[in-house]
Amino acid sequence: MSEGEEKKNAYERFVGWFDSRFGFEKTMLKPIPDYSLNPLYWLGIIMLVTFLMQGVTGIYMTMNYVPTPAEAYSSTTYIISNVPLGHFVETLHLYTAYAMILVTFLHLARNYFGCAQKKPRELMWVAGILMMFIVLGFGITGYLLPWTVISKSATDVAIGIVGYLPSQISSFAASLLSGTGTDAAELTRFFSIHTVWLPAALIGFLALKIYMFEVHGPSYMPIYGKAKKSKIWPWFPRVFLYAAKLIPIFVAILFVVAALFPLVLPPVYNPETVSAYVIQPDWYFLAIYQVLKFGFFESSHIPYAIGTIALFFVVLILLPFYDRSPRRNIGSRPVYTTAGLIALAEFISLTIWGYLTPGQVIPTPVALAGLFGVAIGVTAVTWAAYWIRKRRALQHPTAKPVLPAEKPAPTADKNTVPDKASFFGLGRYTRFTTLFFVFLSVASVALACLTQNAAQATVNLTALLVPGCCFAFSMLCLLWMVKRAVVAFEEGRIAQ
Amino acid sequence: MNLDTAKLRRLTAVGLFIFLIVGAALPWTLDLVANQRAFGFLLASDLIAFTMLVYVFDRESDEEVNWNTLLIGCAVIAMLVFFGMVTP
Repeated sequence: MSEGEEKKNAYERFVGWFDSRFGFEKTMLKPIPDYSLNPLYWLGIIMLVTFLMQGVTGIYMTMNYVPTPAEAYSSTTYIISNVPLGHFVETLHLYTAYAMILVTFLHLARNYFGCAQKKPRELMWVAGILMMFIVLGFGITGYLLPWTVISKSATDVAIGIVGYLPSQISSFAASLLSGTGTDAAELTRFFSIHTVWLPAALIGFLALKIYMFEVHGPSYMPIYGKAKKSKIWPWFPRVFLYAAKLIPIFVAILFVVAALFPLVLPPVYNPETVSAYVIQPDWYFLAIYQVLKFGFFESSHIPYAIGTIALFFVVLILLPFYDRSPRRNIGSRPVYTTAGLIALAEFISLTIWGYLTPGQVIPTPVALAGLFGVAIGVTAVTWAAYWIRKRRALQHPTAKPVLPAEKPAPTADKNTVPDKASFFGLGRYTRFTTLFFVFLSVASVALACLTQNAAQATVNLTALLVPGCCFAFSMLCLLWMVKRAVVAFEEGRIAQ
Repeated sequence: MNLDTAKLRRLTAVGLFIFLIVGAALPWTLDLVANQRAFGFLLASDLIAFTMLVYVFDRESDEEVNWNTLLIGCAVIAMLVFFGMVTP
């Protein structure tokens, strides 16, 4: 060490050793601002981690899995019972898939409410939605592979729905998914799509998204950002070490869940015993499944259900092209915020409603009451918040606005010393948002249950009271939270 | 011994590092067909130890280490190791 060089501690020497060999600090990814060191900005990376875990666990299983109807189930049970770590890897593959889908949904919701799709990131949004379809495709194709009675029957239902599409599309889709129509052809195709086509497509989109992320950087979201000047951090070592804290915790949680709740395989598929089981898709398709069970979409009207769902996704994918306002803050976007919250609440309530009513057709009045009840409830709560905000603003013209005002992204200031951060930079906004969504979910589910129970032929008072009380309590909590937020903003206890 | 913050941090780091090495090696000595759940718990505890080790080092000054966070981390590790020991 030269005399002029400062004495370095062990950590600096360790980092310096790697950096001098790999040159990470100069070559690896663009520096990112301090405000993006928050888990909500890292959902894309977490999704990438789940994909890598899916790859590793999937490859391990393919060494013993046989994709034929005769041996698919037996080879799966062999992996579970005889292969070292087979049961753990199989379970981990399942829960990582769930986590991947959940993180994809969270990423979508966070980007929607944070306006990450705005100019110049429109194509990142489109790529993200297409990636969501690929992830759901993983779910559909992977569900069939163990060849259990539930998975095979649910997949047959899904393939049957494809038959309702226009003939040009349905014949192509059917030949793509089930080939000659035999079980063997279907399983071979699903295995091929699951292990080759979809991973290749996802890798392509991931490369595209990472490239676009490098070009545009993280999108500043006023609702989650810290109200201070932001320091710019290089990827190595600061951001790299942040990832080294966040990702192992996420993986550890998956390990613990996999160890606590090991996979229990349903019985093997047998055409003669199918009728004894209620066919139910996995949780991520329960909302769509519930829509298909609505009375007004039954039998010959299924194409309308498919059209409605397709229309929703078209509207979603085109969002950045019609929502061109420069406003990015939820405080100044009441219509889009309300629409997003309604979509979220409907998804959650339909998912739980679908889980609670397997195989039951939902009568039209109940379906309409459930759908519109959730929408009206969410609209009432959201607009109450905006109304209180407006009233407070009129009463106290000089007071600060209720919801964070529009403001530019924090400017980079290399001289700014970051505040003492909490473990993962979780701030008040994140805690508030999380709690708000918890109560919103409870209210939505309670309302769905209430509507369902009220339509029963014999009305059970307890079955009405419990969801009724839950709904009333959740709505009160939501209103109380909104009121508290209003007062806190007005008094300046929550920084702008 | 005067356990000032810097020394305590260094001791914690050494302890975590030792646990990290032992915890990474130990699960592979188990019967990987019969003790798969224990394997999961022990590997999870190792990942938490790794995160804590990074957390201890990823600070610009000694004062920024939150010892409550480290205590919670140690409690989680102890719990996971316990589950790893009692679970088949």
